[in-house]
Amino acid sequence: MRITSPKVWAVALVATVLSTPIYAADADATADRMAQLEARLIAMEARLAEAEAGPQAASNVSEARMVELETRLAEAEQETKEVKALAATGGNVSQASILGNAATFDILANSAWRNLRWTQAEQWEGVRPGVSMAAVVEALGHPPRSVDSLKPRVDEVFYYETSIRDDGNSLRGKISFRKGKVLTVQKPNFKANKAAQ
Amino acid sequence: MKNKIAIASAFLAASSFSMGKIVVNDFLSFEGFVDSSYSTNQSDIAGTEESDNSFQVDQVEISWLFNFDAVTAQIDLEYEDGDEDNEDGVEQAFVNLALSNGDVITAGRYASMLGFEAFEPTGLYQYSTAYDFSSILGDANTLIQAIPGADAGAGTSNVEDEVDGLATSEYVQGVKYTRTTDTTFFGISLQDQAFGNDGDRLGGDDDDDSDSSFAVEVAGSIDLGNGLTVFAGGAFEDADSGDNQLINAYVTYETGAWLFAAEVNVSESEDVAVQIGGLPPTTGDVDGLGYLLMANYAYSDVASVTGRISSLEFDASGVDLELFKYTVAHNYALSDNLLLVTEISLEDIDLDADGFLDEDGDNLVFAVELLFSF
Repeated sequence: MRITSPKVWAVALVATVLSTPIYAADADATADRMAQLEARLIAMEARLAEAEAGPQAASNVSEARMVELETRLAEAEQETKEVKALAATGGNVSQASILGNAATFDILANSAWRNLRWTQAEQWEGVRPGVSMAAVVEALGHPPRSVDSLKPRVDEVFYYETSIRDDGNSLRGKISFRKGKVLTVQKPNFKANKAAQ
Repeated sequence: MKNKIAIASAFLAASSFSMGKIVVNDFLSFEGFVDSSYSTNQSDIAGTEESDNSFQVDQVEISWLFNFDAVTAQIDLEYEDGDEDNEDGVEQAFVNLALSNGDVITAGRYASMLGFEAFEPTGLYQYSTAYDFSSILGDANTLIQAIPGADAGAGTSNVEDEVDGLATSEYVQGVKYTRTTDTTFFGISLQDQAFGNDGDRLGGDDDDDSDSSFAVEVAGSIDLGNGLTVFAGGAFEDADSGDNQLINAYVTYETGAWLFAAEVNVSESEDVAVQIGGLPPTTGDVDGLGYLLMANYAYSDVASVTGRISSLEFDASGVDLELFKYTVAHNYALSDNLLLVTEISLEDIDLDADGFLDEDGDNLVFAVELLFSF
């Protein structure tokens, strides 16, 4: 069979029509998943608040259980954020992409979130002097650039930068460490960046 | 600016994100440095005065860092000025396998675990290293060779070679096992050599050409808290050309802006052939003792001063050699990755060769170093 231009267009049209319901189903599944996660999150927050309330409750709940609940809560929050990020960009991405697989989009969105979560202002809220290096990486992700500082009172510096050349629209954050703890924090100027946009 | 304090490096190595680097992707990162300097020295040995200066790029290094989860690898490519062994190229190349319990097995070419001072300028508090007396020893050798009848013949040792016997090789080839916790470090390495003798093999040569050797290096350290750390280790080389061993121990104490360090090295080398001047060549053991005392004070966020006293003493076959070095250095960080170091050192030598030669001398060194790291 010869491949002619009309045949190619016909195949492309059929493929587009057939794949549309799949994308719609993906969007529904994402919404359902987000709703389930938010419900779980609300339930966990309620349980955690109950556990933390009052001396009587505190005496009934072991420290280990509290830690477990807080960990699960943090994981749920993280997952919810990832799903929200996916929901916010997933529709356009999926239709524009040639990959066309929900799992792939999920992985890409998760990966993008993990790598770029430092670009969200709220992720910097817990980063302050005294916080451990591991906590910083947990909140912001691994830095795109770091250096073993040559300054005498600084061990290492993490640089979170979108660009070091573009002064107008770049986001720049800098965290210095001493003995594995945050020494100083320079948060990105999110307001100025937003105004510039 | 940090040195290779064993505890610090070992503990930092436990966290994969503790190295300065430029991240290309999840699997590959780069780091490195460029070290350049101007130095001038004026020596006066046995009444013979000399002066010299140099202005050069001393060392350039780029490290490739690979990360494949439990398997990581590193390749250091370098240029080093004055590398007499012509080993420019691959300084280190090793692969790490992290076991499930956090222990690490390393294979390839890697740095020795021994010694307080770092092997790279990015980890030093001064321009020079404590036991580097190459300048004054070079002048001393020139002087010795100029004495009528003096001849360090083939297969024998001059004073520089004896000094080399106290220091282990900076980089070796082999397999290493390390265990690191929050407060302790332990490592053991089976390697081709430890003192530069008969390298590139692990024993197994039945020939008579004395080129078979292997070595074991063991090291451990503990953080005692309150800024006090203790390190002890040793290198033991079994070579056809003679067995060699070195014990190394040091203590560091950090309080506020102060860092204090004290180190001692004790070495013994077997069957070293020595011929100085017109003396008959002799073969015997060489015993060495070296130490350093150092204090560093960071008087601001970007500057620090360092004082150091270091010494080497050798009792060779008919030759007693004593070397002292007094160093004052100032470090000023122009940024997190650009450092200006100035140093003044006074080196002192006393060489006694069984009455044939009894000379002393000194060498004054001034250096300015610019170090860029990335």
